[in-house]
Amino acid sequence: MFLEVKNISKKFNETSVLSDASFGIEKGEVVALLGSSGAGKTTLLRCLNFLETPDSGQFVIDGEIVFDALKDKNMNENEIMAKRKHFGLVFQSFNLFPQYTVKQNVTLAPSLQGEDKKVLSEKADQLLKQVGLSDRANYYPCQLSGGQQQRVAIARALIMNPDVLCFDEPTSALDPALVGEVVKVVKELKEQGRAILVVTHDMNFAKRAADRIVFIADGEIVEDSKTEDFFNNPRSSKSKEFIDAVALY
Amino acid sequence: MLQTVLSSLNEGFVKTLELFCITLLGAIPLGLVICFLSMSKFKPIKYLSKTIIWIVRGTPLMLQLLVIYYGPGLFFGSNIWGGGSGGRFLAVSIAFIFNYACYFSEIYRGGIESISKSQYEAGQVLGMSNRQIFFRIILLQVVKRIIPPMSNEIITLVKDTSLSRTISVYEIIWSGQAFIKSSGIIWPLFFTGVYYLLFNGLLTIAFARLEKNLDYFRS
Repeated sequence: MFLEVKNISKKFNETSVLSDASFGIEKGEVVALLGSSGAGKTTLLRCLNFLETPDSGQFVIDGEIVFDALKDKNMNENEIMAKRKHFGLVFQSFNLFPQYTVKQNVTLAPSLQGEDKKVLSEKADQLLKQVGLSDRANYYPCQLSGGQQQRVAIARALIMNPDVLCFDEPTSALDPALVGEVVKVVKELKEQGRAILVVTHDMNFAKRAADRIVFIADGEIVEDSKTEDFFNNPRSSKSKEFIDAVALY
Repeated sequence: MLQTVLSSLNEGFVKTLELFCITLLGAIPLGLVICFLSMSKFKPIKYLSKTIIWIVRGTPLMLQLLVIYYGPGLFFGSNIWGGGSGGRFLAVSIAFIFNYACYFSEIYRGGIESISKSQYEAGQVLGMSNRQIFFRIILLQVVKRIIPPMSNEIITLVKDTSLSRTISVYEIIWSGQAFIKSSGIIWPLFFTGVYYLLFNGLLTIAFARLEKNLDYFRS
């Protein structure tokens, strides 16, 4: 596996949110982390991006241990910053920087790390073209629709060239008619050979976009199957309950 | 007569303006320092600065002026300010800077705490340092939000400068009042109001313009 998440556990004030969660993602693969709200999927995503620090477990990318809770529990700011480079995150509500234009949103972080302005500008133009926003480069976030804001957020994450790109509930803040667009974007990124993790409770989206489903319930990963197997022959009773509940509704 | 009054009032108003500008120059950055201290995760520093803010905001500025100017002489037997008008102006400036810095710090804190945590997280996942996040992302959003309360405080400051006459700093009210004793006329004192009104009018326009300049984004 390209990314291996090994035995991640996390407690908040003695309440266990994740226990012993393990799964992996290949390059060019889309994995959907599926589960009802409160199951721990967002916490797992936040751990991967070091917005929370796991109590135990490891992250391994391409055979290299990038995080090990045993020795990295008390990382300082610089160490966390270095580890974050492996992961990109597109937030549920996009979290663009309102005072910057679309292009400035994309170039801000790398420009602070001393990358050449001209090279960055070209990279940003190319990424904006890729997400179909070339004509919006000088707009401000408040002038964009939700779907456009999300694509800016994707370009902003991609410019850092992360090993793994994560999406937090990418369809929940959007018009249902735009779900097809998101599926398309995710598939394109997959074609480019990126490893993609999508946290979602949207079964339809998962069905259409994901190669594999990792189903999480009460902080534990209860099933890890190919998408069609998961929906046609769920192995665990909890996955079956989830699928049936959503199908009823 | 009119000429004499105006030139005297102008002179007083220059002193008023000096105190106003020095207070802003000192209190705007000092307020940020006090704000950070009062938000510190280290409890003793946090509570110490909260106590100082409480004392400064909880007592009249006039009393603070008197204590700062006369206190050292009364308690330690040495007038550290020197006798002249320069010394009095220095004492007044320090009292004003400190007083206003405490008020500003609370406005800043309100502004900073009103910015969503998600803005910090967006910066963090892009590999930005806390310092970069604050200065490149948070600060301008805070500035936009605190312009209305800051303009309130700053307009109050224009009028508060008149308190400095308590320790004989010759600002504009002093200049106006001097004509009561010297010439028996009261209108110069009343006329000082025109100066305050005009200057605050200019400030109001400036703040409105600043607000408009930051209108291009919503946060």
